[in-house]
Amino acid sequence: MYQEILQNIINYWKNIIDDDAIDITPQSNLMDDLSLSSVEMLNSLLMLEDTYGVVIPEKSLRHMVTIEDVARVLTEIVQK
Amino acid sequence: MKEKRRLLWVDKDPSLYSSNYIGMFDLTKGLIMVEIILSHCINDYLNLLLYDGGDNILVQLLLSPLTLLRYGPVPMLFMICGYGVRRQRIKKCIKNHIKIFLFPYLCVMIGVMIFVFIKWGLFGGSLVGRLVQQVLPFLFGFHPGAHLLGDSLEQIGPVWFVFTYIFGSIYLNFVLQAKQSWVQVFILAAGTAVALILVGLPLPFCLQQILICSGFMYVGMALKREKVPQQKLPLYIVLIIYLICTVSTELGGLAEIGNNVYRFGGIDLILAYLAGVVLLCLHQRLNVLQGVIADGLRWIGRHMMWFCCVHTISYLAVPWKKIGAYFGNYPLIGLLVEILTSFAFAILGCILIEVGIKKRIAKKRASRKDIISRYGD
Repeated sequence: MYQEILQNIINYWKNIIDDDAIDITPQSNLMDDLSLSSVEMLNSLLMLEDTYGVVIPEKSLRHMVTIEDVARVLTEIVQK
Repeated sequence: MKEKRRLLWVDKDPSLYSSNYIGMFDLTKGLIMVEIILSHCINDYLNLLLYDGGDNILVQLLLSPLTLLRYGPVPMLFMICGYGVRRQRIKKCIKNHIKIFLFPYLCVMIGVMIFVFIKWGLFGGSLVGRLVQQVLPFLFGFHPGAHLLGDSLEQIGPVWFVFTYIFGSIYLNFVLQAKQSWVQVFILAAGTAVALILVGLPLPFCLQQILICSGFMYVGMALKREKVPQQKLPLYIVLIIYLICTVSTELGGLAEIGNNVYRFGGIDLILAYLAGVVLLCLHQRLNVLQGVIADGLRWIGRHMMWFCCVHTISYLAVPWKKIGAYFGNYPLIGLLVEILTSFAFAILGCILIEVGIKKRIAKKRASRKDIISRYGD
């Protein structure tokens, strides 16, 4: 489950960033490495919520620092 | 059992200040958005509430501790925008920004035009004149308060921020193509100097703001690298910058980036930079706040761009001055009505936009699934 979500997220953000110069790995920091704008971030969250049929609580956002954090938090929410 | 939610409480979780995370500026952006709407509403009623408006000694006393807010909010917002800037191919950058941001901007223009028709139907007057006055600034991005051929153009309202952000990001991306930092700083500083020289001219496409605000975004990129907003600023630095801003304000200094006004030129701009950084650090200290009120503010902050767009429509299109005249004897009730209506309009607009986006995402997903089921992955 976790691996599948992680791969989906990486693919999604690879598509958004679309830049070979930026290496997107599970350890990539969303703010520091990917520099996603707030609108890109909001659209991404809406997309993830829709794909997995969940609502990401406000408090979880602060734990989403890297891509693997997002996958971990999402996996936890989906499994609940 | 359902957990009882508190209105406001303090969360001392250290993860709040340990790294850059998504949503770290939501509360700050929400607070600034609330402040912007409140200031627009209060402005409409200031003269009705007080006989001598802004010159009233009571108003001066109330405003005196807020000098940082007279310099800092716009630079602070652009510094936050700097967190989302990355060097990318120019073509890709232009395509990205046009795709994401130009559509909401055009929606605002169409929304305002619809209200111009309604106002024309209600109050009469020259429709062509009204449309030209209102649409021209939108098409050519004239900043609020611009004069053209002796006539004062209608303003494009708070959405100038979105316009400046779109083209400021593209310009900054051009600058970032230069590899050395000193070259980047030099180009941005030269651009800022040119903007300050041209400040009185009614140039299209918010040109002066683009040149100036890209500098704020560049500083935002540096703040992100150094994680400055996560750190506690020493109190003496806050006090010194506050005192300088207060003295400058007392002497008549003013930096209104939206209206392209810098009374003391470069000095006001430097103060705007300093006040922006200090305000950002101070606002981030409030990130410990949790609860229903803080969550509401964060929701507003997360939807800031849409909030700004919808508020622009209500701010420009609704004849608040005429409505205010009905409350001539009861300005406080009028003010309350304007505040509540403005917030209700903005919140409702954001909810509708979010529902629309969710539906579009669901539709896209469904059509993708359909294609995969028909033709395989």
